Amino acid sequence: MPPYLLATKLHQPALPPQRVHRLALVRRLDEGLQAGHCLSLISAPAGFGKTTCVLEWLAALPRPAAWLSLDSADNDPARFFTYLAAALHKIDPSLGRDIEGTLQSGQLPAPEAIAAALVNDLLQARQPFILVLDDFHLIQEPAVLHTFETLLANLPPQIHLVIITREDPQLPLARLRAHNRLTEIRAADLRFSGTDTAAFLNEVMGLSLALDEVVELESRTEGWIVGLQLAGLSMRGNSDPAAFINKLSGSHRHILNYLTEEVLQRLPEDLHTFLLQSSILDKLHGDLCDAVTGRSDSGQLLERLLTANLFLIPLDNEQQWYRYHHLFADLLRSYLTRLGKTQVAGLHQRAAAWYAQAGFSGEAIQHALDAEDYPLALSLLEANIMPLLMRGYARTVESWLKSFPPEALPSSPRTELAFAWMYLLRGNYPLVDLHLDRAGQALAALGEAPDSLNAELLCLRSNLSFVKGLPQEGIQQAQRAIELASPDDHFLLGSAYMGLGGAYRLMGDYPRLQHSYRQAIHHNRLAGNFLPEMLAVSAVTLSAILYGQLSVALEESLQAIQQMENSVSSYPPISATVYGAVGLVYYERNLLDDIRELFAKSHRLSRLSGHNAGVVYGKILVSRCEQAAGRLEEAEHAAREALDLLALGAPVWIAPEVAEQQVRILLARDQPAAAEAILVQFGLKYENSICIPGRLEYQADPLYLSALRLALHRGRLRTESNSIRSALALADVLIEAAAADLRNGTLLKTLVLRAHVNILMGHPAAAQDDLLRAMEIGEPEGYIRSFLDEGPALIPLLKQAYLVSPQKAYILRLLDAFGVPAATGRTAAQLPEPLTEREAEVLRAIAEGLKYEEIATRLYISLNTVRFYVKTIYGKLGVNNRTRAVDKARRLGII
Amino acid sequence: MTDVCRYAITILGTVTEEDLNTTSPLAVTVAEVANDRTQVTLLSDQAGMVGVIRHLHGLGLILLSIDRTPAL
Repeated sequence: MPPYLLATKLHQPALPPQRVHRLALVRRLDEGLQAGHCLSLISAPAGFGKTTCVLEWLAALPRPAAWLSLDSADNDPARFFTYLAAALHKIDPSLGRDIEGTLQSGQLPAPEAIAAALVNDLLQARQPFILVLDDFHLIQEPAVLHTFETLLANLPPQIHLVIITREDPQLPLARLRAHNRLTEIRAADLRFSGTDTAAFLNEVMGLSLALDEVVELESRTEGWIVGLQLAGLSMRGNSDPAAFINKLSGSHRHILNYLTEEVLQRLPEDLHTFLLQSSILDKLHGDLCDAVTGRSDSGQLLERLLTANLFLIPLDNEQQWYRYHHLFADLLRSYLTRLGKTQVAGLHQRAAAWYAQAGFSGEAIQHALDAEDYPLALSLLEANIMPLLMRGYARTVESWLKSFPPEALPSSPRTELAFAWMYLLRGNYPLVDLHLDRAGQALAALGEAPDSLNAELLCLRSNLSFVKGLPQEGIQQAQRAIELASPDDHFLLGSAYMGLGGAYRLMGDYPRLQHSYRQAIHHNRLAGNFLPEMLAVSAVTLSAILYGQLSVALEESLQAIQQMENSVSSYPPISATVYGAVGLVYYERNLLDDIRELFAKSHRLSRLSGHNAGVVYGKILVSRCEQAAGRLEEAEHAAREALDLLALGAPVWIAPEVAEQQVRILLARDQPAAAEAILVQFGLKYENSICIPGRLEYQADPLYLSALRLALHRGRLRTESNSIRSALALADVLIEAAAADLRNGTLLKTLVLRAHVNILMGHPAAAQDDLLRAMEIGEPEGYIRSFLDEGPALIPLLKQAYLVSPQKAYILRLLDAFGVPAATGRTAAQLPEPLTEREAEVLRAIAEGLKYEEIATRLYISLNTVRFYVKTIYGKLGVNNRTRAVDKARRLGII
Repeated sequence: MTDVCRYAITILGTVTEEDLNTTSPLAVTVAEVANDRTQVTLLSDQAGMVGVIRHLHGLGLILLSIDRTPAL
């Protein structure tokens, strides 16, 4: 569990050893569970023994339970779901990882996305379990309630939810009740009967009351357990219980006030003072209480309170952390105010200092604010604001800032910069601008501002320049930031190189962008800054694919995935791009078996991140896969979804990719007019045929490639003779531009398409030249599908090329992929790249029928490394699944 | 507090039972609609009633009065 989370919130409180057994209630909860109810609602005011009732049920239940004690700070959705994920981890460490990763990266997904991820996670639970949410009435935040509403409607059968609350939660329980899916325990069920009261007072509290006294007390307290407990405490040693009982009258609150006064007056002075002073704490620990009260025996006092039944609830098995019963704590706090404001503030200041030293910044800041020690609160906030915001606690931070009186909150560049980072990560760019302007003003007001703050401001500005499409400004800002940053400030350097990489990406300067992003990866890794590191990895891999360097993209992606899988913490949803990049490389290499899983993972993480671009891109990839597998209808469906999602907003670079896939499908459906309409819609000009612009923007490559495919399609139908000539002209321009910028991915695809154009125009020699040139680019990187996807017209050329080209092995792989039977008589020695000993070992294990996990165990390697070996083996053998690999290896005598 | 009672809650405006009950923690019955006011009733203890009040507040409805009578 991350160190900043309070373990006590997740601990199931200990069951009081001395208690009245609630067998009927336990039975009712049992029956509900057996009947398949998805929710048990324990709804009653404070002091009715709700928590104890559930604890007693769980103690006898042969099913694990996750427990989450809520407090009002959990109305911050990020905090609520972080704790919820941590509670689920206690049942199964794999549960809730996606959500945790999202929140740790400073992103807050939409309620629907969180609910979908939760349901998806819970479906994976290996065993049925109970999830208990205690004090749910404190949750009033619509985003949290809305997520729970969706969760309840789709709750997997493995999970039974228990909500303990003082009031009915704002969830659609009427529906659950109508469908008999709800167990309810309410105040009338929880109140003590006469028998319960007698057992409680005489057995648990150790009194010897007569039956009529018990009946009278039950009547006056209406079976309210806290009232009975206080009455019992007050009557200890009282010689005339009947007279005492007769004094009790009025509302619960009145009885509570009266009895608490009675109980406190009977306590020794030291214990009385300790109770009042420690009541400022939501959770009590011996050391913390020592720090607050200035004593050195708080641990022993807490044990005394526990033994005396003084409303102290242990929060862990070691009995180190406790809390007071909420009702009791409220009253103690109201008595505490009699001590005077200054004294109470001193207690809060000492609590703030203890929490700050223990690393619980949230609690420390809250106590500093309660003390109205604003300088302390501000210094704690500034020191911790980045990690807090990165954890997604934006709402909490904002509420703290609102607690400051305006005169106590001078404009703080540190705070403004932290907010700018947060909004940058959330994609809210106008607010980034706003906070950067404020930070700039605050820095100017400082006069001699530290270089680190100026560098940070420039870093942020350079990253914003990338988003705005202003490369020159971005380069200047990033370079100046790098000059100002200290050489060991890896956070700043990592961020500055991100901005620089972005600027070079805009300019299409591949060598510089690769260098900058690699520097960003290096510095962010050293800084332990996982999110920007993954952003840089994504940028490196996606640009490597654009520039035709599939091996670079694969190596970077696999390395990042390996690191993520070995990491104890969760990974941010931006890693969706990394999975997507691996999928793209596998697609290009025609290794379709595992792509669906990779794309599904990429798609799921993208949805969780709330970044529409990732979701759109995921849909395009799925569509391409479906089309490659011959499932045109499914491909069409995914492509249409991508188009619909595009309307919700996405960066400009993604639109051409959507259009390209649409055109592929429309051409497969023989609808060239509709394909042209799409290209026009996305910005290409047609006047009888494609109009070639004076300067080709590299971001529009997919559109130009689509225009080429459309022209080819029409040429084949012989509907437009001009079309094919203009296609050739466009291909020439595109090849020249791509070759000049080293965009080998585009270059290869265009060469393949021009080969088709040349075939159609009756220029076989030119077609052959294009093909050979494409193969030169394609072979080292293992490109297959860029040849395959454009159709079988290349087969005769490939066969001819086999006779003259030194790339025989590659040609055979391409022919294999086209379904042309491979030449026989080849041996292992004739493999273009022989298998290494380790690869052969993996292949033999595959042939034995071992699963990847089993191979990893046998060979002492990670699962990911096995996957990597398998893909390499497939590539060398020119196959795309394990059956074909084993079959081919046997034919070649390798195994 | 523990007893189940009949609560009659009067809201400003006209609201249908279906609209109220779709996401309500407790089912309520529309007892009367008159003069741009809707009276709904529910049988519940106080914890249930407070939950319904919050629900109505969350729906943006204006509460005019609450009456409590013992359940028959």
